[in-house]
Amino acid sequence: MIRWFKDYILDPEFNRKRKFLQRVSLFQGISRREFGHLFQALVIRSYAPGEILFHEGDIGRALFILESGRVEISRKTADGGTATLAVLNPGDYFGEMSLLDERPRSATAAAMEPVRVHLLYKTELEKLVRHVPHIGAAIMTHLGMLLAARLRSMTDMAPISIASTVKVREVV
Amino acid sequence: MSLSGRTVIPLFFLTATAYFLYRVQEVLLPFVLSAVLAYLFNPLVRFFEVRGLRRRPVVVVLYVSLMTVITLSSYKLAWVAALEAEEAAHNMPVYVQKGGETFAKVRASLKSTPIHDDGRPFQTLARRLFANVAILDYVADHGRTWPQDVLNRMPSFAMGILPILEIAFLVPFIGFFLIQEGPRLRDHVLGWVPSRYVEMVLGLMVEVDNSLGKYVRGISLECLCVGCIALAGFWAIGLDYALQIAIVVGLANIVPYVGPVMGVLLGGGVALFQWGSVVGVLKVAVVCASVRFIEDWFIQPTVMRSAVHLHPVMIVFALMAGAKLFGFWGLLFAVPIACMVKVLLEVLWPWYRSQYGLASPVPLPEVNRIPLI
Repeated sequence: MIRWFKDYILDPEFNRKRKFLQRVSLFQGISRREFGHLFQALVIRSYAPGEILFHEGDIGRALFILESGRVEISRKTADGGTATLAVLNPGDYFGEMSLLDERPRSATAAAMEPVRVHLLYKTELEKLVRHVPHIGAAIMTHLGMLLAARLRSMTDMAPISIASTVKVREVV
Repeated sequence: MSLSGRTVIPLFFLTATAYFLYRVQEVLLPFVLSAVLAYLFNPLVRFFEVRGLRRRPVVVVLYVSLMTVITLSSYKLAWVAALEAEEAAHNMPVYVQKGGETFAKVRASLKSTPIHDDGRPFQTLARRLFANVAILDYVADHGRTWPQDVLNRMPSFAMGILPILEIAFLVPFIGFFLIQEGPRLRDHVLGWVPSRYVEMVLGLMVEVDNSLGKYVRGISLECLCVGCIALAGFWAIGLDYALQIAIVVGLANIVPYVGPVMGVLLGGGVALFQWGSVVGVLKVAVVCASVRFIEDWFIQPTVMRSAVHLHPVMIVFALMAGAKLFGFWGLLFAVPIACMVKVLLEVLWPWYRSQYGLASPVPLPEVNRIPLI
């Protein structure tokens, strides 16, 4: 009787989603009890194989978290061709740059097989920051760390060229 | 910019949908009110949902509890209303007589005074107006028969309640499904949207949802506060039928600025009959002015803090345009629709500008100034 009541009252989807999102690095630092607030901010959308999630140059305002399937990230080349930058797997997330600066997407994302993603829209992230600051701060901190790490890897790869770019800009 | 099939087909569907909704506008009201109910309920359902409970049992339990409370309070309210009606029927002849006497006194004093400019412009203007147009004679003739007319028309008023009862049954029924579906409805709609427009449509849905939700919850709370303050004020001055008038003031407050005005009209009328003097009307006017002051300075900044801000001129324009286009319902829904239009423009305009290269993004000023450390 108690078991039936528990099954009827508790949402099985809640635990499934929580188990998946706890594995996503973006949500490290969010406690088990806080995940319910995060679910309210996420929207689920499925894509068929070959469907484009977003095009290079589109204005983006959402972050995509890949739950199932694989997504190809590609970019146009100077000679008019297309270069594959990465193939993303379940648990990966992408589109975080547009989430922060609302600038055109720097690459195209296409579903390689049936894909299911969670979308975090900019306004929903802002709501999380306002109403559940612990979650909002955890996400923003992780995004900041990710961008800093990328910049560091760029400077490590080409320290002189970037430093000189800054110098030249200062002079100009 | 040429119109491609990808632009024309969605535009065609949008126009067709708008035309269809316009043609069936008479049946939309229960759906709109159900959406309002869903917005009011949602924070409560969400409270349990974020703790891992299923949406459906939560909605069922809350619904049953709410319906029980509403049924019991309606029964109690109907009982009080019946008592008040009985009392009103008993007092009516006295009221009519008192009001008639006051009115006759005012008319006699105005008519007996010769019209000359005694340096008091408002009094002179009032005398001239009443003397020339003979408004007082008209009101005096019809004032005696008005209560009887109202009583004679009661059966037709009762028939007019039938559509309200129909809505009272339909709204909870439709509202139940809207609340139960909740976020799934949003995911479902988004599944229909072409992938390229998903982010834009999601943006619109989130912003409109936020804006409408805040407005509906804010205005409901504001009406409740205004009704309670008006009730306290009317009780304090000892006005008859304070509860009924306060309920009307609270409900009328859905349309900006109308609540306190209704309070002055209704309360002033009752005060004139009750006390037979203009002082009573002034007391009511002071109460209503205080309600308006408290609403403007304390309730609105707190309750509607995070709602979409509309300039007062825009509110008045929206109200007039709504009333002109759709009458009473247009007046009622003018402000939330104006909020929605504002949000749509706020989301669509930057998207349009960026999409068609009308705006170049401005980089942060410190990017070029501070070196990468």
